[in-house]
Amino acid sequence: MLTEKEIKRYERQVGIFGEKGQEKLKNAKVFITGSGGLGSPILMYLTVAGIGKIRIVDHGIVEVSNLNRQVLYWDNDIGREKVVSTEEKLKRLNPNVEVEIISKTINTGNVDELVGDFDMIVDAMDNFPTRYLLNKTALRKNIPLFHGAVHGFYGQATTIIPKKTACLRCIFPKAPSPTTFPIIGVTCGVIGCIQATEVIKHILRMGSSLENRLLMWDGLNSTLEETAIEKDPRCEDCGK
Amino acid sequence: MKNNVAKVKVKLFGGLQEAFQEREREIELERASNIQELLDLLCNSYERRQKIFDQSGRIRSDINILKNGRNIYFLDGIQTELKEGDTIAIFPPAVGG
Repeated sequence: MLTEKEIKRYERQVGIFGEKGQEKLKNAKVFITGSGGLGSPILMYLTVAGIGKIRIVDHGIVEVSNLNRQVLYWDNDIGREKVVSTEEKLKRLNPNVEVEIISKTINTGNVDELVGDFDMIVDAMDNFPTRYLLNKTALRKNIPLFHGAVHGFYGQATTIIPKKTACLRCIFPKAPSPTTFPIIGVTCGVIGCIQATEVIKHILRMGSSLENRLLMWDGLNSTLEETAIEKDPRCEDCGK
Repeated sequence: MKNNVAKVKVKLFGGLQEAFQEREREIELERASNIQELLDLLCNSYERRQKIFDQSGRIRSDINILKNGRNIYFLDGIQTELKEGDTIAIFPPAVGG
């Protein structure tokens, strides 16, 4: 049940999906890896939307070079643990949201326990090896994975539903070489907001999602295009 | 003569649009054709080839090619056959977060 204060707080969105919808958001448990460029807008918008419980895993320390895009961190956060600063900001944004922080590097040994019984995984990572780990975990636990990635003015997003859609490995069979990628904050904002929108719609069972669609944002030319993707029976991760 | 060609649609994404100065086009191929032949037609300059192939002539590891939504990595790679109406999407993935 929502409190009077909550109904007031969310009245402008309750107009879209009703108190029942808001209760669904309140009851949702979202697991997110990465509290950086993508993580910042995703976390901020999920928090203000009233997601009930958010678990965040990131092992990073705030560096000055993060500040062009990781809008959760401000100048006086340099040198602090990212998750500590994240928790502080999110609690100030919306004290109703339960925020759990874990300062760890995700690996094959701990990923199952870290994700625990959460309803979904949001990919806000910066490398493909960890993304593949999240992909396998989502498939194993049969929970959705909301993928996003950015490079310069470009970005991509898709929503992966185990057994139903292409998985991350179907689309990207091999990890691209790790590089220091150029990036501007606005691209993270666009892609992160698309991912957060997908999460909210999934919880509310509203609209149609990015299932089997890879969305491509080109900020340089202001175009949003998509290409169809398909689950591959020969895929190493989700195929038979 | 039209019976001897197959039209396929090629869509480029990410930085490839800038490099190729095009986003989408139809290409006419010989009836029995494959990805290799399509890429040879598409990459008609040294600069374009560099964007798709590495120095040993293999498709670069950061280039993904989908035929009707399926990565050719899980099909027959560069020998993947093409037929009339196929849609080919080519893109480098964004990696950052």
